[in-house]
Amino acid sequence: MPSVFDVLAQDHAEVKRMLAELELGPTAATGADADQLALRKRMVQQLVIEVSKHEAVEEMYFWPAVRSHVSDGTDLANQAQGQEQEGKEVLARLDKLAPEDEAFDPPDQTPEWFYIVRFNLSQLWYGYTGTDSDTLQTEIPQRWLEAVA
Amino acid sequence: MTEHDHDHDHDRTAAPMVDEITDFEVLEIAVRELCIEKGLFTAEDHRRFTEFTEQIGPTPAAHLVARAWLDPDFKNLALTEPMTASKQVGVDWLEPTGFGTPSDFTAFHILEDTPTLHHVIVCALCSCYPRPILGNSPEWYRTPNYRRRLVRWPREVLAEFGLYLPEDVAIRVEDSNQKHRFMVMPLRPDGTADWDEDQLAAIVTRDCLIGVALPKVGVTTNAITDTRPAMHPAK
Repeated sequence: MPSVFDVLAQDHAEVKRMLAELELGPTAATGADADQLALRKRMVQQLVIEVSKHEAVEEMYFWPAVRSHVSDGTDLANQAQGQEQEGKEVLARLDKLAPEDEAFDPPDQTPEWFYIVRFNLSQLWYGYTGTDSDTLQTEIPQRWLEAVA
Repeated sequence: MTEHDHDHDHDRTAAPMVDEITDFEVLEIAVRELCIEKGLFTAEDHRRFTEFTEQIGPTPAAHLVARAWLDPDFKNLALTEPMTASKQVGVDWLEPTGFGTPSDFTAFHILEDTPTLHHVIVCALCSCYPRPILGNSPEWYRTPNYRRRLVRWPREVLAEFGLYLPEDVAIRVEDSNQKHRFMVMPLRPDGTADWDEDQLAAIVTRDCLIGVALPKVGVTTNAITDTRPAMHPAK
């Protein structure tokens, strides 16, 4: 039976590999054909599934165990989860049209990426009175997002 | 009204029910009548389609959850291939109405609750809802009251539904918006050990699938029918 460290480390490596492959492209913007786009779509879906399963395992088993069994566990866990949760951009979603364009159907539309974004509510709202692990997850088309650095 | 030949007496015709009609109502009537006139569909088609949409409900989703509770393989299918799992409870997202109305909608996800994570769905932008599998949305789901407040004060809004979650359960508010649809797969409650699928489905109410209630033994509806006694009760 592999240790949880091995499983999680393997997951991280796998996710990194899949992301690297996606980054290589081509994308719709760089001339990918329909088959390539369909493959990208499937890869992204698979990635979303893998990341969600990985996160569930972490949240259910790993971090609670770290908190209770590792000295300094609470700080370590808080730090790691905080890093994960700060306005986190999970993954680019499918190439789609932004809704404000889709309704009007102009002839020269270009699809754009949708990003699944998970906000930590205690960071998002001033004076939030819930717990600091409450989150809001939504989708935002690329045009509304700007890189931080 | 402009002059016209009279074969009726205005004093004796029925007055319109309302004095004003909205632009959208006029648009709907115009488009519908034009479609019928042009032969795109018949009035009978329209009636049947309207009646179909009025009767869809949360039963398929309740059975999906019940089946997932009973069968780990089906649960895995529901989480990894929600389209396929939906088909197995009778809902085809690509042919949602059976009337040949087109759909290529496949961005449907089932959100699995865990002992430390509770999901609740909302559409802050409008009121998107997974109608094919959950039926029509309740009226409160469409109100700004719910949509605006759930994303800002989730615990308070859930408390208004009577749902109080402890501090060690994180809440995830899932905003549906236009591309994605979601339903919640709640945790199986205690006291249901050797229940079959139908018994389990009966306690997975629509509110549980939205995330504003938890399934409870003995609670098969979230509608409150126990209100103040009637002033003049029927004898």
